[in-house]
Amino acid sequence: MTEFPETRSNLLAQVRSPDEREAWEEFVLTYQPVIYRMARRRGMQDSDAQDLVQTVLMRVAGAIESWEKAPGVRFRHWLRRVAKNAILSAFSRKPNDPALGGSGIQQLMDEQPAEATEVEHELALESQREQFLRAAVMVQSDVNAETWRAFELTVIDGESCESAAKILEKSVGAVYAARSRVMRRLRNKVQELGQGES
Amino acid sequence: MNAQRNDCDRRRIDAFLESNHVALEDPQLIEHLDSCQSCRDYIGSQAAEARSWAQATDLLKPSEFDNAGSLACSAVTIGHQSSEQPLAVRNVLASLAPTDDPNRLGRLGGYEVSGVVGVGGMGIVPKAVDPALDRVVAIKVMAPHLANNAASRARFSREAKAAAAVLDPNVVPIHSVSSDGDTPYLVMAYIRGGSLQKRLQREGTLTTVEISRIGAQVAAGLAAAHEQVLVHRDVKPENILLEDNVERVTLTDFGLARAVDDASVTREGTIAGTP
Ligand SMILES: [Zn+2]
Repeated sequence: MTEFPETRSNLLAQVRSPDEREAWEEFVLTYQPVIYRMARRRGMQDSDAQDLVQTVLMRVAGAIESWEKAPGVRFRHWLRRVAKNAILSAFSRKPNDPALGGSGIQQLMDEQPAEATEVEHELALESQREQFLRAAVMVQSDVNAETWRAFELTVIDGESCESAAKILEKSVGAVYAARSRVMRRLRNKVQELGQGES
Repeated sequence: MNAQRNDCDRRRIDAFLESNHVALEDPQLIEHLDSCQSCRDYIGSQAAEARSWAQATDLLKPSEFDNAGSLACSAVTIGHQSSEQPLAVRNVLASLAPTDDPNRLGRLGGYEVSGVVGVGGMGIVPKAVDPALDRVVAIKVMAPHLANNAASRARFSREAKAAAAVLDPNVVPIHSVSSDGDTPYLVMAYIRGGSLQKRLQREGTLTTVEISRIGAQVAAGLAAAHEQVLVHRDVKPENILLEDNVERVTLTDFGLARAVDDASVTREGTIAGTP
């Protein structure tokens, strides 16, 4: 049988402390969809895009053991840097050459492909989108359905506050109040999620 | 700019925004907002900077690939969007047992499901890890709505038995079968690579050498099946898998296979094959 990279079934085997584990979980949660969207945008089929997601995450997981050799660097920060390089290198290659395996950590840290800036920008945008999406899910579960709808209609779907008020059978004032309250919470959540960044 | 009126109360707006009690309402403030443009502007600008409002609009708009059939990757979607996954997929995923590994979608039997590699009429094919043997497998899971149908179940278990009987390098090996539970499934080797169909779409025509290589191996796989008095009956590019980096071709999907002596399966007039 062929050796699949997935044979190293437990990506988390190397992540031991609870703090690191949490950082890793959050990392996977954010980056899975980010890598997936970037892959699909490049014309990959669903299953190929998912495979690429696995490959990149696998590669990052495989590099974790060398983290301990970088004293004084926070795991969270280290993770993002390695991930960024792995993603940039994955997407800066020719579409038919998704070869990703086997490279050492040094290569992962050094790689800076020529067209990186554009991909870098896209990666930053997609990561930010993911933060907003995650924050939105949390805020949505915190507020009542009508409050969320007022925000969704006016901020995401582009309705005016007046027409949202008609749709929701609420006063215009209530729509202003509801959307602002959601927006405040959303902004706070996004900031909270972004704390591990940079 | 709209002027502030006598009845404007900015501190009240601040308190409203900062309140952690989402249920807290302020009917008087809401009534005031019905008519005061100045306070509408104020509450908006106090809620978040203009940039955050603009980002929310841009980033939360459903993007083209948020729900393009991805499962492992769409763990985070807003509300109604997630309902756009194919029904069969949602049903199967909903039937998975929970797992404590955040990287997995759930558990089926002893297998940790990590993604979905195929969706077909009969059900879906998740990719999973067999922790006991530390190997990757593809699991063909029968869609729950078909599992209630006796004929479908019979066909499913027939495929499982038929395919499991064939041991040949050119036929995808079946590791195990579970056909009596609520969700029948069969576990087979996961072939990393793609189908001949995909390859043709991607590269167009193949070289003569390739064609004969693939043809010979498909023939070998079919011959092995025939030795078990089994007819595949649905040989097509989608069911021919090309392994990555190895010159091996494997035949899969014995869903329509028929044992030569099994007369009950296809009555005359029943159409086999995939349209
Ligand atoms: Zn006012």
